[in-house]
Amino acid sequence: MLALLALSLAACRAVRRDMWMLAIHLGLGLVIFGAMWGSDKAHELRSHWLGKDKIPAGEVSLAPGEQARLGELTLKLAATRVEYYPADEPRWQFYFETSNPAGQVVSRTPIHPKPGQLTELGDSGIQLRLMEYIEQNPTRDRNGLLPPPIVKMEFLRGGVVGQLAMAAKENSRRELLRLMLFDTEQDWLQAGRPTLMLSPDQAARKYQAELVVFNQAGFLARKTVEINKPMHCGGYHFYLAHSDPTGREVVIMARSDSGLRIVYTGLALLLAGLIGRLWIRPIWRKISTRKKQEACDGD
Amino acid sequence: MAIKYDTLGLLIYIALTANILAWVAMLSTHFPRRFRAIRWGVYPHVFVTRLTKIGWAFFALGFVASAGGVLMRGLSTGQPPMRNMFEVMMFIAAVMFPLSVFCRLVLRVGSCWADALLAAVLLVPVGFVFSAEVAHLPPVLQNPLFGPHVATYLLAYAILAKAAVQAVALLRISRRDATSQPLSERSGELDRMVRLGFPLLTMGLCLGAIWGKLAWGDYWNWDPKEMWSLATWLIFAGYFHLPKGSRADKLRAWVALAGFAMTIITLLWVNFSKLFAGLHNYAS
Repeated sequence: MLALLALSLAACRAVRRDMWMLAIHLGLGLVIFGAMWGSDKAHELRSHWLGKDKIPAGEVSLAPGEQARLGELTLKLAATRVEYYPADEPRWQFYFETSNPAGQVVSRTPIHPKPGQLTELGDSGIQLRLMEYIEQNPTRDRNGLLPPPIVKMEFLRGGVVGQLAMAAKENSRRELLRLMLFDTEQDWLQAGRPTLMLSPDQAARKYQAELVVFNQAGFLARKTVEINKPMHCGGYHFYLAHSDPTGREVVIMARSDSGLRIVYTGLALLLAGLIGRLWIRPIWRKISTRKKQEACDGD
Repeated sequence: MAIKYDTLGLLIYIALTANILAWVAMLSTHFPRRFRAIRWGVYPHVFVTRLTKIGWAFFALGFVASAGGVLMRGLSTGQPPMRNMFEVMMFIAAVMFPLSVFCRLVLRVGSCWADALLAAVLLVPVGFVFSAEVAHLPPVLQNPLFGPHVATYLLAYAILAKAAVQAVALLRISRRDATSQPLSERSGELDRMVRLGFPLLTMGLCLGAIWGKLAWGDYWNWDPKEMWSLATWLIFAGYFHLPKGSRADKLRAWVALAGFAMTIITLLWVNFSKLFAGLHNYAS
């Protein structure tokens, strides 16, 4: 397509002589060239021939306080925050999660335990008995959320019994479940990392992650990223790609900025050319024809 | 069947009725002269003028009601009223009247009865099929580009629908006489409509690319909706590469119709068919 555009520019005089047509075709060419410049293959070629060690893209899963390396940069997740839409009936919901060895969630099932009755947690062989469910102060926060209830539960797995009281802000009980019901961490991992969560059952309005970026020289930048509001530093854009409903684990994605300005310039040229050619030029012609007509009539 | 019993529903049903009446009144002025003379006696032009005026009055009433509905919905939800198909179709129906007036006065393009019909057709599912339930705007749609991106696309679709009407008229005339004056007039009207709509289509595409970069990290994600919108764009880009002159008129009309068919696929089929599930399925 790029070759076709170059050919049309070279061969077609009409395209070269008309400023707007030139802008349209040049703009389209720049968009395609910019996208190619930012592609994985172009990064690979630049790394091979020029020795530039820049990754085209990458992502890391982080919990608050954790840090990870991404290319030549180090990312640290300072904090996370989730805002919810106010709901008419805010409520909290139990979820049972299983994950693969890499930590990615495989299944997430809502469960509805009734007080006193045993509830199966998926196919994990774990049974849950809700012993007590105490609603806290019914004052909603600014997101319309009621404080989470205090829940007393009993777990059973192959003759092993464990008791747990889940209270405010304790969304993840991974370790406790493991310590209560599994002898070793390996057993827990093999069972599919069974995890019980108590999450707000409301539509999320905003996910936020406070991100700190370091390069080899040290601190580079710090910003709160949101979906739609990435952070731009060190030749990359950092995105909040995914967050679990409670914000306890987020996925940060990095995208190289190579070719970004070329693409934006191309888009601007393409649009300006089209507007000039299809809207401005006919109006301009009409005005000049009318002026000429008036001049002729005057003579 | 989702009948609305609230104020918004009332506005929708008023707009629907007014647009149907506008269409009937405007279309009846297109009846053969002989037929009009039998019906209305020796002064048919008086009735034709009156009917046209009545048609425009109903069309204006339909606009006031549907624009009121769009405004009310936007104010009550606190977000641009383009979140789902219910809101999208109401928005296009509201746009038809000002678009029709603009095209008539500035671009000298007629077929206003078709605009009233299109508005009425769009309001039928709004009034009877789609649910008016308010859905929260997910974080990915909370971007200043949401309104401009969707609005430019919807405006472009409305304009290109009007271009398709001109294309059908052109093909009908070309069957009767390939060299007539009306044929070149229709060709000019089609051309003016496509010239008006194509930059908006491009603007929608560019705004979408910029937003895609902000939200998903890429300008282009090879998503079904993106692919169909690119196909639409390429077809209309092809329109401008066709030779000029009366010989190519028919071909241009067919290309404009093909482009319009693509807009329908992009707007409706991609949203309703599970075959095209992708990143743009917020509206379904």
